Amino acid sequence: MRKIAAVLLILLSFSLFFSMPSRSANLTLCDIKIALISKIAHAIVEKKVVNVYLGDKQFLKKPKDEFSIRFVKNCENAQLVIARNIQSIKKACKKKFIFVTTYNAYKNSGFAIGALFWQKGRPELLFREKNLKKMHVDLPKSFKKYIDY
Amino acid sequence: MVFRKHFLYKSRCSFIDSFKKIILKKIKMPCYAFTKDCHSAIKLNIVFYIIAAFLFITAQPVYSSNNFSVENLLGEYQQKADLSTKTKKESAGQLIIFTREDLDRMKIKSLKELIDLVPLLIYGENAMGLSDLGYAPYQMNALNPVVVYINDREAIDPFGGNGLQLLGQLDMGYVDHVEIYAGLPSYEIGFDSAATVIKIYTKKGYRENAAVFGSSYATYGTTDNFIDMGSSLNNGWSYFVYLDNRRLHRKKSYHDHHMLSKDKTGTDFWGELENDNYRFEVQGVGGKIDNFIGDSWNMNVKKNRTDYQYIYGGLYYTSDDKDIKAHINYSYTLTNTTQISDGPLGVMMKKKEINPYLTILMPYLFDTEESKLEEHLANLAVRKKFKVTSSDKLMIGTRARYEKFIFKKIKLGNVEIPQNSFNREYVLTGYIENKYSINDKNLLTASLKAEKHFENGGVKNYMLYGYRLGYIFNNENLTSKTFLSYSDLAPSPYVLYNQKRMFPAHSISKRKGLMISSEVIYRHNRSVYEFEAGKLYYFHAIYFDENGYHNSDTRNVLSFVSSRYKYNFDPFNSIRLNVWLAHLKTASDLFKVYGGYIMLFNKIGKFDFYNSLSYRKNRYFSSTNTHARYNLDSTITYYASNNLSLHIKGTNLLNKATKTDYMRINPLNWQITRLNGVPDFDRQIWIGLEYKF
Repeated sequence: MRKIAAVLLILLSFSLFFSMPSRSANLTLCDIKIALISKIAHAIVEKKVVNVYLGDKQFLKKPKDEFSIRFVKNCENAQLVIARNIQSIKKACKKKFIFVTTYNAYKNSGFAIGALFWQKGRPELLFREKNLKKMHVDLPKSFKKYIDY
Repeated sequence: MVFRKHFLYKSRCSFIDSFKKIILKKIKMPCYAFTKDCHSAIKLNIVFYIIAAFLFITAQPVYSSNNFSVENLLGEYQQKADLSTKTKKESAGQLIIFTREDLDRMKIKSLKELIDLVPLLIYGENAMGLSDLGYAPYQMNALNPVVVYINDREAIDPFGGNGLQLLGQLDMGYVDHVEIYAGLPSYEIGFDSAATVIKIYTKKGYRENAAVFGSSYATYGTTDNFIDMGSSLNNGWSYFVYLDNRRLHRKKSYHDHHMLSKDKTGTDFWGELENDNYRFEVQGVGGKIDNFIGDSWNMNVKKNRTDYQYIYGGLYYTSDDKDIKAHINYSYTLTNTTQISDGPLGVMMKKKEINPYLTILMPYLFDTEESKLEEHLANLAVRKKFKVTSSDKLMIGTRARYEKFIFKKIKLGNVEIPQNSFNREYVLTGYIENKYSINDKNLLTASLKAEKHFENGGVKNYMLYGYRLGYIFNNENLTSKTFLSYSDLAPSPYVLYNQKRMFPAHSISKRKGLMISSEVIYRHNRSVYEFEAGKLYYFHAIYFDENGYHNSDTRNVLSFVSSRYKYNFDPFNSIRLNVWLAHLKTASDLFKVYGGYIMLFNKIGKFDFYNSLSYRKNRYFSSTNTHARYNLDSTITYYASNNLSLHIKGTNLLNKATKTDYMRINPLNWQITRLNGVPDFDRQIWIGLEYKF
């Protein structure tokens, strides 16, 4: 029995290893964050390359222009503003699409169109339905389950 | 064959088909390789079919055309930003991590479930029904292998010494993730001597941002209800509070119509307030424990119960800029134990007055015992890191510990026992650790520790030393770690106390452990292969006989190899495998112990699945408990909405998990009483829900 179990475990390891398609597992945390921002940006803004202003430097310390997004230094040139809290955003940019990165900012302000924050140890992505309608944003089907009604 | 047809009939896509065909080829192999008749082989290989069934479940969600869906990216983000990745220190030692996601999906109920999945460890429970690894009747926890830390606090019992005994079965609701280090880790993780270090990290308020209520019910009348709440505050602080009430009802054992219970009922509060530099922790635990066999000589227990209260508070300071960590903490424990047996609990010499001029000592058997123990524990610790050069880092630390244990009452039968003059211990520790990077791939580490135990009441002091040398190679795909460590271990106050009380003429020497171990980790795409081997030499082990505690003259040698494999299909589906074997050579015996596991984490739609099958064969220090043991645990969680989840969990579903044999000896007539095959894990079904406010 023991031998069978041992042989089996080894065989299963190898069969799984060689039968699975190889995928990119080498994305860094930074890459994943940029890819997530890109997904969110392209869901909100219908443009080939979206200009993003990153107000929350803690969320992403080294922004790179990847995945069809361009990080801009002035929020007035951006289509999407990512911030830790609403107070830190310039008045001139408050009418743009604002996406926040903390639970408190999302809860306490009605400005944000959506948020990505931690809840119960998991990342939570939410879009506020009222603001989506107000700003005439129709999210792709794959994002519908993240709408906060 | 029926199984195979069913398997193929269920096939849905070409990839899964081909995957199953490969697996089916493997299925046929054991039939041809080991027997001529395939049908008889099928009957024999139940384990094999369980694994195959698991793989069938696993195969369903494997195929995904879009690896960069939002869902997958969120899953990847969760994994890569998990708190365990912040606390994980690859150079600290040989490490196993159970992440927040793992624990959530397992719906972990107690630490002992994890211990059963750790190579080399065999979970057991002692005669008091408390968690004990390597339990042997009448003996001290022979290797005392595990030290548990909760954040930066060592969870110890000042008198008993080992915190795992209680923590092994307490609830884990406030735990975020668990790191388990095989061998002595870096002093940065913990500097108390151990063969295994379990480091528990609690949940952080800034990662919670919710209030959660949970309720579960399980077989034998077990109930568990909790509420927790955590959030970031606007000024950089965050808080987390947790309250749990658990009535853990275990399967009862019987001896001679007397019920032996391991039930544990208690309420646990945990609170934490922190910002970037400071963290306040408080904990309060209270409840009662049924002490199973206790001290009864014939196992005919009438009443055996301990009521306990535990209060803890700590202040922790961390400065990443200055590379300083410091803490001060204090804990208070009060335990009231009552034992009543239908037979003797012990014997003592009692003065008997024959006449006014003659008093003689007579043996006195007692069948009742009452004790009240008060324990205090305080720690003050500080450590600082220095950058000697760009490639050389030095860490220096010290800790002062104060332990006091006062028996407010010991009543054996109708005799009150006076307080022992040995009732406190001061421990002063100093350590230094150097990490030298030869280049960005090669690192050398060396640590040195000195520790003095100051005992009172005429018990001799102990001076302990330890060192650790290590070499770590690390590149993108390959990591190898080799460590040589040495530690002295002092006897626990429990041993010193009883030795002084019963056999004051004999003193006990410190124990010594020398370990060399090596680990290679190879990462390829989503696969991680790990291989580990090592040897532990253990000198002056403490054992007990009719003349008290003694140090063994011979050494124990533990040799082990372990291999682990992990494959992440995607962020939500993974398989983990492990096989290990260990040989423990003592003066008179050789114990060959084997183990392993297969673990599966799956997600299908709104369902989460967790299945694990762990295997253990033989036990350390037991030549009779040699059966193969299998522990099958399964959890299914259904996410009814974003706020509500329901789960069903089964532990020890095959009812073949590890069991412990118990033995009692009546020293007056040498009559032996045995109770064999008591399950360490009950076969239990849990159902529960969690609601997020």
